[in-house]
Amino acid sequence: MKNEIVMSLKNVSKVFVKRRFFKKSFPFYALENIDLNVLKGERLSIIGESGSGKTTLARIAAGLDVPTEGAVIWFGEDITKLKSREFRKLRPKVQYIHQNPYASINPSRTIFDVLADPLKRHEDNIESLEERVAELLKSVGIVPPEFFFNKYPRHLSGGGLQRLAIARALIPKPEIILADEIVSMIDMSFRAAIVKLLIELNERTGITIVMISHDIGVARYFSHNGGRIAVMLRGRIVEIGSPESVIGNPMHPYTRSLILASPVADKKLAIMKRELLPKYNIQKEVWESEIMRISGCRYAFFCPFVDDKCWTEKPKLLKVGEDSEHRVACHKAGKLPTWELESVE
Amino acid sequence: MNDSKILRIENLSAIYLVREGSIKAAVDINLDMEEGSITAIVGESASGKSTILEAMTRSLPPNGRIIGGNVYYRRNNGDYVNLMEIKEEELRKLRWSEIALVPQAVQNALNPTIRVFDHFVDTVEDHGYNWKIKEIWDKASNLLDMMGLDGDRVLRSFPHELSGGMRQRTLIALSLLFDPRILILDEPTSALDVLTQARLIRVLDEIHSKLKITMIFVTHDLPVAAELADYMGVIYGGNLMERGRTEDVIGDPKHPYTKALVSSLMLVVGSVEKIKPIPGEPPSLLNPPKGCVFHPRCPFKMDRCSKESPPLFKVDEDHYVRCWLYEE
Repeated sequence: MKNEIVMSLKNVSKVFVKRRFFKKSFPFYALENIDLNVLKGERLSIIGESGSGKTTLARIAAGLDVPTEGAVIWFGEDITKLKSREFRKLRPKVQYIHQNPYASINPSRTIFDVLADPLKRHEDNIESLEERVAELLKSVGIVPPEFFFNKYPRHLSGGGLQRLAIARALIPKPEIILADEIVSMIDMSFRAAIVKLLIELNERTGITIVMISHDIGVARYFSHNGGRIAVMLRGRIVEIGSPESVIGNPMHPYTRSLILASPVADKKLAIMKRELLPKYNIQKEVWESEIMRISGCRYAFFCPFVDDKCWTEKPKLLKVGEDSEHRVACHKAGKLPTWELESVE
Repeated sequence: MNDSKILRIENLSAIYLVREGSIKAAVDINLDMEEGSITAIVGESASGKSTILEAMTRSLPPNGRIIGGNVYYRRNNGDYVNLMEIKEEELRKLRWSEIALVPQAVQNALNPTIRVFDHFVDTVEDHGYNWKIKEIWDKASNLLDMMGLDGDRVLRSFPHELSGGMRQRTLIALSLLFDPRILILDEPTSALDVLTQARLIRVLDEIHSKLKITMIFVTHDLPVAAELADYMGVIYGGNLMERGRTEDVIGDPKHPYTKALVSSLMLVVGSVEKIKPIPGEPPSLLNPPKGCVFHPRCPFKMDRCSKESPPLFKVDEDHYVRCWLYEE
């Protein structure tokens, strides 16, 4: 079944109360009325800048944090309403991989122990613990596994540690993995390898993977060939669809400016992009509280296409274009000029 | 000596002393900078890229040692001085007034208890200049305006009132206070959001074309380097593997490492199918592999590579590669 929903967020909001120095406090919407369905076996990327709420979204989806409002549904059950006993039964099915592998793995335990302990807890009849650990290490490309049994996490590079963290997340046999910025802390020569490992894992076992990233290029690679990308801006999803639609023909000015701001290794194209960027992004410094005060679109301050409706009315995520899954939250989506980078491939 | 070069680094080597031995962070580095050009030094973390900057300005941490090499800097009158040999006192005079170094994570370098303007005043006083307050304000305000900021407003602010990107640009403005001839930036774009990063790249490009200043920057982000730099040096395991014009190094990379790196980039354009990860692990600089440092990961490895370290071979005008494949 291709379109089975394994996880969904229904009208989820997360509000923090923030204060400015000596001034009135204001509600800060880290997430605002998010509706998102995660389909079985898909590779979903969530991208956004810092402060866009992407990590808050992942933490709430993983059950590590509770939403202020709304429901988080795993396999048909609302986890915000479950009793803790019942929740613990579901818990292993959703695993979360942290951003910083240097902090998420205990440095005083051997690599064998890092995997053996959760194995003992989650698997009842293990014939040979060594074999299972070796199998796991091999599946994430840490070879030869026996060589690493008595080594410590400090003997691995950032990429190696992240592989170990992935192996550990696989132990409870999860159906969904949430990977939070897993390549941002590691070196560029390993990044592609780690993303590829996740893609292979998804293709081999059909596990659902949600990856959070600030890097559009990483999201494009991860979700290519069947995945989806969601773009977040200040607590809202502003665009979602296949990478071919979201990056090939973006319909939100913010998505366009993100793509234009991402560096490419080509000087000519870089100059073209640099000239196009102001067309979709007005650069100015605006207070957070000012952005939170507008009732309309969160991009209004920065959008060159803005009109009265954008300031007052919150845009809904609506379908655009031929791709039935491509949805955009923008009043102006239909009126944007043709996407200039479309022909550049 | 060729007069268009403002800085020439010759056979520069530096190590860090640690309990387990010595970390060979810069091995026999040869680089030169054309006056008024932008040079990027690209490498992964712990590849020794920042060490080069710190060694050439003699600002290594206490356990760092320069074990050899010369760095010639051409002064305004055409004389070359060897930064490795001149007295500490003279070097101090050159720093910031002629050669400005903006270190990494500089957003956090501002003093939170004083206003931005006071940083400018302190800097002027520390360097023994006798400028009037009004003069400093005007100069600072102009520089900040050039960085795309509202100069007068920023000068009156405290550092915490500015965003990370604004603080970064404030520090760069501060480094330009005495019209230095060389601006050295260590990881100027790390820890910035893409839109802020794009803006900083634009600003750096603008001040470069306005001031004709020579810029050297270190980055781990190859695409950023490609957007900004005229020349590029690729560092791996403490060695300079390839250098040349940016178009040549990115468009037609010669070294197997540069080739692999370029094809492992996950960009927003280009074919997704062509993205290829690099296998293997980076070398430990404590015990670097014998011969070429890249040979354990290299797909074109020959017998010789594990025995002898290759020198820099010239493959084209201004294009040098440290690889045995290009021996003539």
